[in-house]
Amino acid sequence: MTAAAAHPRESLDELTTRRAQRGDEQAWRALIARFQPPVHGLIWRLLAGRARHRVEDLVQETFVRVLRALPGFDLAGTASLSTWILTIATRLTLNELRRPEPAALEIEPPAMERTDHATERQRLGAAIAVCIAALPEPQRVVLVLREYHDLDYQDIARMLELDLGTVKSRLARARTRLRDDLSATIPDAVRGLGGRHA
Amino acid sequence: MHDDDNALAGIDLAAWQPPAPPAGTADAVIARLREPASVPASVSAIDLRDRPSRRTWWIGGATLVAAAIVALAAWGLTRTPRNGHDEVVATRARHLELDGSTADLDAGAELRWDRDRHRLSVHQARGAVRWTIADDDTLVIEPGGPGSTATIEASGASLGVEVQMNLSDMRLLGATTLTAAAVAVVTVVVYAGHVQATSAGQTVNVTPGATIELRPERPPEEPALRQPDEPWEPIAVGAGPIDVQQLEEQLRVADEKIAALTAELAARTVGRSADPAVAPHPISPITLEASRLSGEKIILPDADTKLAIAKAGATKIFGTFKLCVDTSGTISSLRPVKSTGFETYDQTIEQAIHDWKFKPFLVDGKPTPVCTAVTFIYRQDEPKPDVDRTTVKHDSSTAPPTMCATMDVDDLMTAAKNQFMAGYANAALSVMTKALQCKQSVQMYRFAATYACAAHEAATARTLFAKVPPQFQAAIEQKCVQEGIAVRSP
Repeated sequence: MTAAAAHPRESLDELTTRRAQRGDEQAWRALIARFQPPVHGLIWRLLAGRARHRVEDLVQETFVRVLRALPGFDLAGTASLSTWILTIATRLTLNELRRPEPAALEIEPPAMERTDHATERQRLGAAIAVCIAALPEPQRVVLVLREYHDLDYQDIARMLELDLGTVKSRLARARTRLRDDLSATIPDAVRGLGGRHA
Repeated sequence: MHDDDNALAGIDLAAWQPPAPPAGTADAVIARLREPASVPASVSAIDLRDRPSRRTWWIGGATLVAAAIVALAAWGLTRTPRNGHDEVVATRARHLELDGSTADLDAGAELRWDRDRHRLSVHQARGAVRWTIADDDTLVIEPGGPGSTATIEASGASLGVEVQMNLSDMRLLGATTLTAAAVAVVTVVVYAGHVQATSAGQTVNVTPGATIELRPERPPEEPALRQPDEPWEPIAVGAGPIDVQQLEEQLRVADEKIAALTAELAARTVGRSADPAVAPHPISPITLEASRLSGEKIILPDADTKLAIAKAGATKIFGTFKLCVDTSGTISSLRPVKSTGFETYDQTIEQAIHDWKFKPFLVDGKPTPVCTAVTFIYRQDEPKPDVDRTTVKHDSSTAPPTMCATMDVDDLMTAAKNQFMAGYANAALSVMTKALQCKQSVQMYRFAATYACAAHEAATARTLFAKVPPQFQAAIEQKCVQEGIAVRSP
């Protein structure tokens, strides 16, 4: 079960998609409204701890590129519209991450001293943010795509132009490290759970 | 899809959620799409189904590269070079690509170039440069700077040009480009192609293999041609080991002469015994300069003196002073060797020199008194006809208009730049501050802000930085950050 599993993968009906391909503005707006949350969430998570101020720029750039390239998208193909859009967003974000600008850590560290004022879930969320931000970029990308956007291994492999085995190994390493880091950061939130590292 | 071996099983990853996306994204995206496309769709499109194989990409890429090379070659044959200009001070040997032509600068060379289509105008202030000029380019060099009376013109040629100061002038403190032009000796060696050299209104053609020397106010002498059996050394000006050795030897001889004269004068002036254990150690002014802690090097005459200089019709005056520094780094004695000819200016210089402070000069690890000679040059343009000489203000501290009328801001900027390049950021800032009292420009504020940061004058840096237009601020800010100064207001 992934964090995104509770939300079915977003899609757009075929009629609206075809209208969007023909340049219909209303259809464009429908497409953006449908896919903005996952695109925004993906970019926001991939930029964890880095240039968060660029999130909205990248979201807009993603949709500009999507809509320009949309007439060439094959609705009958094997990749879904959703995966295709997330691929564009991922690649744009990876390019951003590889730019040599200084990366300011913008994530607030876990507020251990403020337990009285924060819920356990907020503490866990903040800890996850810090720990995911600390993952090496290749592991972080695979983990976010899998755990938060429910993409299967094959889609991730095609998006990142990796072998299937590489995706699996990176994901396994990312999960292990994230669990270890979370155990060290907030032991009470991880203690008692099943799994090898509990 | 089910992950059988998920180490994160049981952890509520959904606790980490992004904030709600902002409104207005669709409007912004559609507005951008209505603009002319800045990114071709073929580049941005990523269609997973029809994605070509890597081999196809390679073939396509290679074809594109080949097409680009052919297009570039055709373009290069017919295009006009881009206009541009720059100033270069080579702290080490440096190669310049000038859009078809090239320049190889020896360490110490300084020049300013300006390309207008196929014409490349150069003020070569000092040092040795080897030029390779394209067939369709015309190089015009004013050696020494804008005040030069000589020009060198070349097209489709390879030549070396070396600009040297007279040895005495090489020791000057505060010499500017303009004053340097009048004392420069220029040597031109032609390796290939034909070159014209003009001086004092006369022009000669210099053929490959010939060398010519240009001196101020003198017509060029007949080029000295190489004897047929003379070995050919294509890199003869400043770049080869022989010339470097010659130059070093000349400098060494000059240093010895200065040192001997200085020691003799010091012994007389200070009245100390000739015992080498207590006699001041003679050093060159450059050596002493390296030990400077504080003091104003750019010493200008006051307004009355400037007026007197103008009345006397002088445009350039010299003054040489002998000074000694004791073991604490303080001036212990000072006397003029050659007066500037203006008593008040001599007094101004002497007062300023008395404020100079140096680090103790060490010989074998022990502080040692030293002496040297320093020459000042002051250049002053002819007063403009509309300047009322009878209304000179006497208070120069507020930079009255008349002071500015006789002050050459370009000279001050050059002096400030030289100070900065020599590592004296405080002095550079001081000079630039004076210049800003008379003239303000974006370039001046940019330089001044940079100097202020290098001098660690944070408050001044912020004030100057605020006057720099935003498009120029990033580079300055970066330099200031390197100096540990935040120039933006919080």
